[in-house]
Amino acid sequence: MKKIDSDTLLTLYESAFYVRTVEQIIADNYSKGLIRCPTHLSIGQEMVPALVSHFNNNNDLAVSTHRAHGHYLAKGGSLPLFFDELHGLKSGCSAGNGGSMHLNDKKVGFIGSTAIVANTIPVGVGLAQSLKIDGSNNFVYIFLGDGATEEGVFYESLHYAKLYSLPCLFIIENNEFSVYTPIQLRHSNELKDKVNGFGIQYVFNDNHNYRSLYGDFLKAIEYLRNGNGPFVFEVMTHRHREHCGPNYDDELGYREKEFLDKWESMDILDIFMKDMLLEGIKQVKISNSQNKIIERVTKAFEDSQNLANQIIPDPT
Amino acid sequence: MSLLVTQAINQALDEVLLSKDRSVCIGLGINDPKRIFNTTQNLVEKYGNTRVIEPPTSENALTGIAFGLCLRGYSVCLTHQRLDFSLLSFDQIINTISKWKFMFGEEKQELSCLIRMIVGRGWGQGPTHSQSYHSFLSSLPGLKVLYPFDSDSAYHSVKYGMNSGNPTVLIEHRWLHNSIGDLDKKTSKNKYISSLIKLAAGTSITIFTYGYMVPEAIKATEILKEYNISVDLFVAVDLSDFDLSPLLESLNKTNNITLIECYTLKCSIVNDISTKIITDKKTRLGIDSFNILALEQGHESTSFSKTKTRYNSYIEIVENTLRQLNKEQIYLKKSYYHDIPGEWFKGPF
Repeated sequence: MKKIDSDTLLTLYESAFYVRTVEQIIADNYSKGLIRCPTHLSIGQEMVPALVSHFNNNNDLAVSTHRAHGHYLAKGGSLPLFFDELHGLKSGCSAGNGGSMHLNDKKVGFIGSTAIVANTIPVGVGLAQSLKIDGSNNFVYIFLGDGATEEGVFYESLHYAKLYSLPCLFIIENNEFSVYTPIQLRHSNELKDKVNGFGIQYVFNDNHNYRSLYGDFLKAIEYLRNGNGPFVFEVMTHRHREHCGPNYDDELGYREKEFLDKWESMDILDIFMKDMLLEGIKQVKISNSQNKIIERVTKAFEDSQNLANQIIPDPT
Repeated sequence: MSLLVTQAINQALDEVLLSKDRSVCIGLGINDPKRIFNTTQNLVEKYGNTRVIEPPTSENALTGIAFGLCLRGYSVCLTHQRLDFSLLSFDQIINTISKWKFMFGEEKQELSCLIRMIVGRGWGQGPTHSQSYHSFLSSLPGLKVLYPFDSDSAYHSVKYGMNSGNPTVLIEHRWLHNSIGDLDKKTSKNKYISSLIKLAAGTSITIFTYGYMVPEAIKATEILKEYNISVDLFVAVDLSDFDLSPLLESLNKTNNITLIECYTLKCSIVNDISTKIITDKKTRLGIDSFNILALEQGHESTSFSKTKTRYNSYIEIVENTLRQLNKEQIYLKKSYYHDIPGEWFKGPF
């Protein structure tokens, strides 16, 4: 297992905390009616964004899904433009036309997220092919969920990426539910077997083992930059809230209590916190980081809400 | 210089690949011995298989991949040997390509993505090799749909799709592939965009058509002229957007009109034009006759005998025009083989 120094550990925590804080402020304010678009929060799924943020290079590209906030922020996407987009403002990152599910910030290589399941996967492969033809050693993050691995275009894309040895890092965040439907009802065999069938490198990560995933990122990035072809990560994770929206929906009973308890005990922020304290990072240092992030996020959000307030009539 | 439509397409692709290093052609059969009806002849030999790509059979992914290349500034031509196969890629065409600029507020982004869709007819093309959803595609904002009718319009349509920065669908009718015509590279490169083309001037009747029915309409116009019927003939190549005012002005002059559709009538280009004519304040009260020729609603059979009356030709145009203008019918001998464009066509598809 790769040793992670304390500075890196704090950076990983800050990235995860940043995404959590952004998502939390959206959840806390959604009911005000100023964010008027379907919104899929990443709360609970911050581990992958934290690692992507750590290894980010703006010349590496990314495409994502309906649940893209964490990926956009991890790539360094503009926070004010993000909040403006959620508020449907012309100043948003997609001019207010896209909303939560259609984000982009080309300056940092975040090319786009779209809402149709698996829709951006081949687009990411095409981006990778352009990089290869150009002789670049950059690569493309292709983020998807477990539901997208059930789409034909995913397999077409894997096949094509392997055939042309394209620099694609497919990252599947498997939260085990396609809206309310559990993976056991949807998958006949392991994704690993399917991916290996294409002769593609595959890594499985469970229990929010960020140290293991950190080492896998190092290995995969070197593999991709050296032109060896695609790589697949399947990362088990957990969304705390409902599929779409700001609320919890555990009262519906579609996820077992044991399942929820298990993931509650493996919240990535708690894991990072525990390890930081074990590493001897002072609580005051952590608190300072938290406060700076909260201040930054709150300011950007309030600025955006103030703009939205001038446009959207008060429902009361 | 006279060229076949296939040669004109080949020449346009060749010129784009030569002039733009960051351009790519991709499609099933592009490098096979038949080279997509010769349209991709010699391209891989000149530009290599990194830029002239023979891909796996994955239409939906290919479309997204082609578009991904465009997003990084490549001009890409993706070819389907039949439009019917492109239906597997409508997620990418509709949900991605047509709306990318809008969805991300990037209206000025250059996205030169050309998708060639070849439409079959006759020789048993039947229910899955003859469909032509150009009308539906032309209804999608953000997508340009071009349907050339000769070598010149085919050449310029390919050039437009590869150079304009606007995602473009090229409807390429198989029966036009071997028609021969001149190339005019001197006049405006956008001469077919957003406008109607007037191919004949007349006072008896206004006729509108496009695509593979254009040569039929030209032939009908020539025959009718012998009977003192002069046709104001308008055609469109850009099905997404054209200024209808020349047609409306013509109708005000002739008071008779025939609209000729290349596919079935329901939700078609011709129905769209009909609505515009009906709602046009100047013309709606003054029409003496109004006629439409289109394929009968329904799927196409592969049977020789069952498709005898499915398509219209210059003969139906002449007969309908004479009937419409209350003129005496003339006898025109029909070809026994209704399912081939000419003796050159020996199958298989």
